[in-house]
Amino acid sequence: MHMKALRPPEQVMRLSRIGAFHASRLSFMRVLLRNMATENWRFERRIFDIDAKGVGRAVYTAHGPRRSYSLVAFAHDLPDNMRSDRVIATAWDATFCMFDGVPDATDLERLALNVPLQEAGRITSNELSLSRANRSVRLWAHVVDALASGQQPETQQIDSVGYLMRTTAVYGSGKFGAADNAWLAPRNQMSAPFAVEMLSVYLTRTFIADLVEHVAAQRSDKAVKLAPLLRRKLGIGNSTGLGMAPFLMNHPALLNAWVLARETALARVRALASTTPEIAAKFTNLVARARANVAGWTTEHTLQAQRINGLASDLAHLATHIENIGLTGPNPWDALYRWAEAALALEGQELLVSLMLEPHGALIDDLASTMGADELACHMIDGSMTLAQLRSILHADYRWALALNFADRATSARFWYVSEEKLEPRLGERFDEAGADLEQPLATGRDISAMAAAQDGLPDETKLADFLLAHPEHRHVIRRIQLAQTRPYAEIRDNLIAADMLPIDLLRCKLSFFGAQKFDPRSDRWLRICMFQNAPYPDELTLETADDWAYPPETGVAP
Amino acid sequence: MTTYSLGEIEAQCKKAARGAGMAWGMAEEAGKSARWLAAQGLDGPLILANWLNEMPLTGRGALDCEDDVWAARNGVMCPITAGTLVADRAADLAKSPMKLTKVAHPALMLFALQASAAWLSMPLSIRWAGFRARLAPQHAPVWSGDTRAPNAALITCMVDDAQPADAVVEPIWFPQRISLNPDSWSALETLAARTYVPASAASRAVGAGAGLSDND
Repeated sequence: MHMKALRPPEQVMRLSRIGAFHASRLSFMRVLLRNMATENWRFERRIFDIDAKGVGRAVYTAHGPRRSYSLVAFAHDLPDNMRSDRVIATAWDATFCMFDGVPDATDLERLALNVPLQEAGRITSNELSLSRANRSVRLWAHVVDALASGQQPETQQIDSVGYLMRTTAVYGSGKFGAADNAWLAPRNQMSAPFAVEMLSVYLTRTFIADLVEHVAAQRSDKAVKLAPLLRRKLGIGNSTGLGMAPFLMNHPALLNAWVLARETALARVRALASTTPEIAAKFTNLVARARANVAGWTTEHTLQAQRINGLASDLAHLATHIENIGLTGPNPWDALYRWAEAALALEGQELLVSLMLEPHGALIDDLASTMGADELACHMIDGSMTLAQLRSILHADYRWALALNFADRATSARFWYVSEEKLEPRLGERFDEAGADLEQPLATGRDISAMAAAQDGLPDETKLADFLLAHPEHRHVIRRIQLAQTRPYAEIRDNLIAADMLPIDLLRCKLSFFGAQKFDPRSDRWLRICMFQNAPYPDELTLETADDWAYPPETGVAP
Repeated sequence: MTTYSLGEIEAQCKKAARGAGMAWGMAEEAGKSARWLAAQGLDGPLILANWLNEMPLTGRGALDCEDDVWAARNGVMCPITAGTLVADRAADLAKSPMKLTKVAHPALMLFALQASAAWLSMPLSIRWAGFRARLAPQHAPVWSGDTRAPNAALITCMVDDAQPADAVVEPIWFPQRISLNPDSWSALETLAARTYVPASAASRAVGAGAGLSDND
C-alpha cells in the first residue's frame, strides 16, 4: 500500500491542536468494547445488596476467555454539603475498586474497610484500580422521581446532563497499593493502556443504571424501569483537573504511541486511491450523526461554547462540501482532508480526522495494539553522542523552544508544583506565589532552552557523557531529546508555563484517547466529560453493537 | 508489614532523591534503581534511604579519572552518579573494563548495569570485594555476595563473556510485591515531603481551578 506521509509533529503537537482532539475508534473505550465483543466476554451481577436509602454493596464481574475482573461497588448516603468533585473531598456517593478475579466474602470485608476511604485507605495487589463517583444531583432526583411515579424521565433532561453520576478520580497502576501494570503485561487485552480503568468505568455505568432503578423501586410499588433507549443515553461523567495534566509530559513514549497510531491511521486512509459507495454512504451518515451529537454538546465555558458553535457550522460546511464534491474522485480522503485544512477550524479538522477513521476499521484497527510503550526501554541515555550531534537535533526539532524568551515574565509566568496538602500537581503563578523553587520538571521548553545555553560554546566533539557528568541538572531533558529521536510525537511543542497556556488542552488530549466526549470546561483548568454515552450495556454487547455508538443516529440511540 | 507496588516505590524514591538534593534526571535514576532492586526482592528503598541520609555528610565532590580509576575528589562516590557514569559510557565499556573507587551503597549501581547490558545487547559483570553479579539482556540477574554492603573500595565493571554454569536463563520477571521496613519508608517520606509546596489561601482558591459548585 502506498503510504501517505504522516502529518509532521510541528503541526500536530501544538497545544491548540491536541486540545481539539476528538475521540476516535482507536480510543481506549472503543478498543475495550471491540475486544470484549470479539472475545465474547460474559458479564454477571453477582451481588446487589442495597437498602431503601441506596446504601450497600454490589459486585459486577466480567469474564474474559482466561481471566475474570470484578467491579466492587459501595453505595453511600452522602449529605449534599459533603459533595465535592475535587480531589480534596473525603466522602462520595459511591466508591469502587476493580478486583483481579472474583472476590470472596473475606475480600469484600477487607475492601469495605478501605475502598470507601479512597486515598486514606489501602488496597492490595489483588486490586487493579480505585475510584469514586458523585451524583448529578439534578438528573438523579429527576430520574428517581419519574421512575418512582411510574413515568419515564424526560429525554431533554437526560440529554442536558448525559449521566447520573460522574467519577471524580480513577486511580490505576500501583496507586494506593494496587497492582502494577507490569503485572498485567502478559494478559493481552487488559495490558492495553487504561483497559482496566475503562472496564471499571464501563461496569460503573451499569451499576448506576441498576442503582437508580432500584432506589425508585424501593420508594414506590408503581416504579418502572428505565426504557432501554433512555438507558442507553446515560453515559458516565467524569470530573477532572490538573492532577491529570502532567501525565502527557511524564510519559512521552506513551504519548508518542497514542498520537502515532492515530496519525498512521489517518495516513492510511488518506493513501486510499478510491472509496466504495458503501463506505461513502456510511461516512455521509456519520457526518450527519456527528452534527446531531455536536448539537447536544453544551458548556458554560465561553471559549469552548464559541468553539462548539464554530464546529457546528464547520460540520454544516463539511456536509455541503461532500454533497457538492462527493467522494468519487481520485484519492478522495486526502482531497477531503486537504480541503478541511484550508476550510475548517481546528475543532472541525480534528473531528473530521476521527470521522474519516470511523468507516475504515478493517484498515486501521490493528493499530490499537501499538498504543502501549516499554518505558524502561527508553530510559538509557547514549552518552557517546557528541554535542555536534545534539546541536543538529536542537536545530531540527527544538527551534520552537529555543525561540522562546524565558526572561520575559509572560513566557515563564507559571510553575508546576505538587501540593503538600493533597500531593497533587498544581499550577502556580511564579511571580505572585511562593514555591517556584520547588518546581516540577514539566516546563520542557524552558528546560531544553536552559540546557542549550549550558552547552553553547563547548567543543563539538564533547560527548554527552562528559557534559552530563559536569551538568547533571540537564539529564532529564537530554533523556527526553534522545527518546524523541525515534518517537516524533513524544513532545508537546509549546510553552507549558506561559501565562496564556490552557491546562484544559492537556486534559482534553488525554481524555480524547480515552474516548471521552462532550468536553465541558468548568474553568481553564477543570473539565467535565461524558464517557460511554449511547454505548451498549454488557447484556447488549455484541459484534454489531460494540462499535456503532460513538455517533448516535440523528433520532437518538442505535436500535 | 505493608507491601508497596513497584510504582509507589519508584515514585517515592524519585521524590526522596530530589528532596535530598539530586537533579531531577538523577532522581529518576534513583527511583528506577530502587524499583529494580525491589523487583528482585531486595530492599532497594532502604538502601537508597541510607544513602540519601549519608549523602550530605560524605559529600559528592566532582569526579575525575586517574590511572583508569574513577574517584570522587572529596569523600565517597554517590552510587547513582556511579551508575550513570558507567551507563553513559556503555559504548566504551564494551571495549574495556571500567574501574571506580570508594563507592557508597554499590548495589544501587546494579540497575544501571542491567540497563547498559540491555542497551549493548551484551552480558556485563560488576564486582567488588565479596560480591559479583552478572547482568544479561533478557535474563534474570545472577549475583553472589552481600547486596547491602555500605561501600566498596574498588568496583570493576566489564563485559562478561563467560557463561556461568549456574546462570538462570529465563525472562526478567517482576515480582508483584515486596514488604518494606516501615522506617525506611518514613525516611523516604520525610525527604519526599521537601518537594511539596505548602498550601496558601491563594493556591487553595485557584491552584486546582474547580471554582463552580459540584451540587448540580
